Amino acid sequence: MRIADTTRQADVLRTIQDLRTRQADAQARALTGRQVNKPSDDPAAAAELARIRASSAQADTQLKAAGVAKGDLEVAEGVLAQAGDLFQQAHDLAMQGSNGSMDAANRATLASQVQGLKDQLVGLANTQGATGYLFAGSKTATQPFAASGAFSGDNTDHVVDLGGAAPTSVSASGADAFTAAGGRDVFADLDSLITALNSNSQSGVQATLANLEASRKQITNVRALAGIKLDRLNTTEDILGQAKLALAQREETTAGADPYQAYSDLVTLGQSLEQAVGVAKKVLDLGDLFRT
Amino acid sequence: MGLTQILSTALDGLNASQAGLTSTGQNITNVNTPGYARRDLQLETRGQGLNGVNVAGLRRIADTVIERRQYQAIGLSSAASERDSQLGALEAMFDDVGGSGLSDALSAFYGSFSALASNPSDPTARANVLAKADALSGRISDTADGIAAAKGELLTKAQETTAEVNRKAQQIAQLNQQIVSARAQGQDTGNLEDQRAKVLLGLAPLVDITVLTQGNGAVMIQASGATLVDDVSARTLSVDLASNGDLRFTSQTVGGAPTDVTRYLTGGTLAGIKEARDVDLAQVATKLDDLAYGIQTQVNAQHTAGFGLDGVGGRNMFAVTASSVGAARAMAVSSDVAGNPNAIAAASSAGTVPGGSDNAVLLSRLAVQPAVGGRTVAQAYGDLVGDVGARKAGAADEVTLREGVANQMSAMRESASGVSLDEEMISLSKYQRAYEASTKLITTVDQLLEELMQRLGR
Repeated sequence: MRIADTTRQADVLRTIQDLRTRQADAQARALTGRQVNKPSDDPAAAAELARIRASSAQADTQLKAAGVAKGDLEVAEGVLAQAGDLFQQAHDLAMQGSNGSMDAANRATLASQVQGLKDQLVGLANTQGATGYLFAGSKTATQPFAASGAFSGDNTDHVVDLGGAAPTSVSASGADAFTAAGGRDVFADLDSLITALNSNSQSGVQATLANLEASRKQITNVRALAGIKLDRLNTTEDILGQAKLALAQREETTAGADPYQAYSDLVTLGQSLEQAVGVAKKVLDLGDLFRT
Repeated sequence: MGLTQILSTALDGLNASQAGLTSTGQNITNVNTPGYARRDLQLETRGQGLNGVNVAGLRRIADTVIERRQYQAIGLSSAASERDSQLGALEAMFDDVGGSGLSDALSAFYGSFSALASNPSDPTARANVLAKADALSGRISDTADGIAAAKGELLTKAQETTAEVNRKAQQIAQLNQQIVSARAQGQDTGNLEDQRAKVLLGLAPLVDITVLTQGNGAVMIQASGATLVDDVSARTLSVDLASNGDLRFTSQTVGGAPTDVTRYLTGGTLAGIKEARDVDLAQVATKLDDLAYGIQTQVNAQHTAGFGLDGVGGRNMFAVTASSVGAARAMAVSSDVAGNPNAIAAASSAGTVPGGSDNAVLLSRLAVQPAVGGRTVAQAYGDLVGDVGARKAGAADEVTLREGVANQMSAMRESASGVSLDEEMISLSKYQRAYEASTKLITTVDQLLEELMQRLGR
């Protein structure tokens, strides 16, 4: 085939342009560490990448939600532990008050101590976390327990999305822990003890012992439930962390470039380009050779 | 044959060599001129008895069959390049790897409900939901606007390109006229044909053309299935919008009725524009509309089921559109909730505000529920990214294929018509030697005549 000079020049130019393009691609792979730098590099991988990133972002969000929920639930669990201790103290005071040798003045003193415990319990039941009053149900903006122990909250669970089949409850129920909704109105039980002590009724004080124990168990049960929820949150965090890792590995498998291969390609193409430019010089100088 | 006849023959040789050097010089000078076809000096022996050489003329070396194929190959290559270029711009709108896609905005939007569920009464979390909804709707509508703007720009480009096609068609018609006229007068039309070839090489990338050479030297050009240039007259190619908004190309003679030639358009920039605008951009825009409509419908349905901090329910999160048509461009935060974070419905009943989070959880979980044709939003968006990528990758492959063919055709044309400096250098030497030899012949005859004159003079 007869080769015209323009064809020769065009061939040289095309070859160099092609090498430059491939070099730019290899450079992008080496720089970013990714095989897929734009959707057209691998459409199927790009589509998969978009889905993986959505899943990864969702796992991030759920991890954050679990972290926030854990914070408040840990506080609630601690508060319930203290509340249980208060009832243990109340029970101890009731035991003292049921002693037959105790006189009215001593019982009044005990009543005063129990009133102090009640006040502390009201304070604990009105504890606020990052999300508002922890034992108010959905009424997080309003103090749920009055000084009397009257409850103005509700028994609504605080739920978050942690990726499970159903929303995850991350709250400890104040209603179940402190009100009759859980079986016993714990403040009323304390009030009964105070009344019995103030009326210097040994039998009345004795009668409150079982109820005080029931109240303590009620609070302990809700605390145990909060502990279980905390355990679940920890497990969820582990699972989400593993899922994140698996997604990162999938992203790497889907779009990652072998760094050694990318660097090798870059070097090889650089050498090819140098050679092509050298050949181009010779090819384009051929006319000069004739003239000399 | 006498000595003086030999001198006459030598003079022929000098003239032929000069003509050879002239044609070689012309070829060398035009080595890089587009449309130029190399010239071959046509020499012939003189009639019987004279034995000299006659310069019959210069032959323009051109293969019309290869040229015709080249024009078609250029048209197809140009169409592929135009579409590839337009899809490159489209791809940039969905380049999540480069950070310009919708993935982040989608994730942030659904994630904001999760953060709200964590703390439903938190004003910051509520404001964040609104901000992310605004960012998502803005991103989607910006992308849709970008596609619509690209379609508008392509209409303008199609109009500019058809104007250029018409200008070149006029040039070719005029050159046809000059060639026919010159040929009738027995003049060399090589230079005019070169000029016409250059214009044809400029026309071929714009629209698919078929070039047919006529007996009088003129060429007839068919573009997009209709005659564009017939002998010395040119028709007009026009573009406007059909009733469905697609480009419509019409061909028209002066004073004649326009003929719709859209469906016959197969090559050139115009075909690339048509394909990119009315197929690729239109289909991607439809899919984006479906995505936007799926999001707004699903989110609105869930959001209206919930209640804001003020205990009011039934509010939409996004402005409602009647159908998916134009949903992406119209995507915006609903006036029900715009500027009012307390209106975000985190609770599923008025009785559970402000701490009720169950509706926020359900809104957050929409991210993993079917929303667009049985696919989740993330899946549907991934499909869209894959679709755009596949179109761009396909277009790039098409460019490689079509450019390869066009380059091959160009090489074949140049093989026949292009100037080879190697050949021209050899021709230069050849004619230089021939000229020297003719000069030597004259010198020899001159010496013989001088000797003859001396002998006759004694």
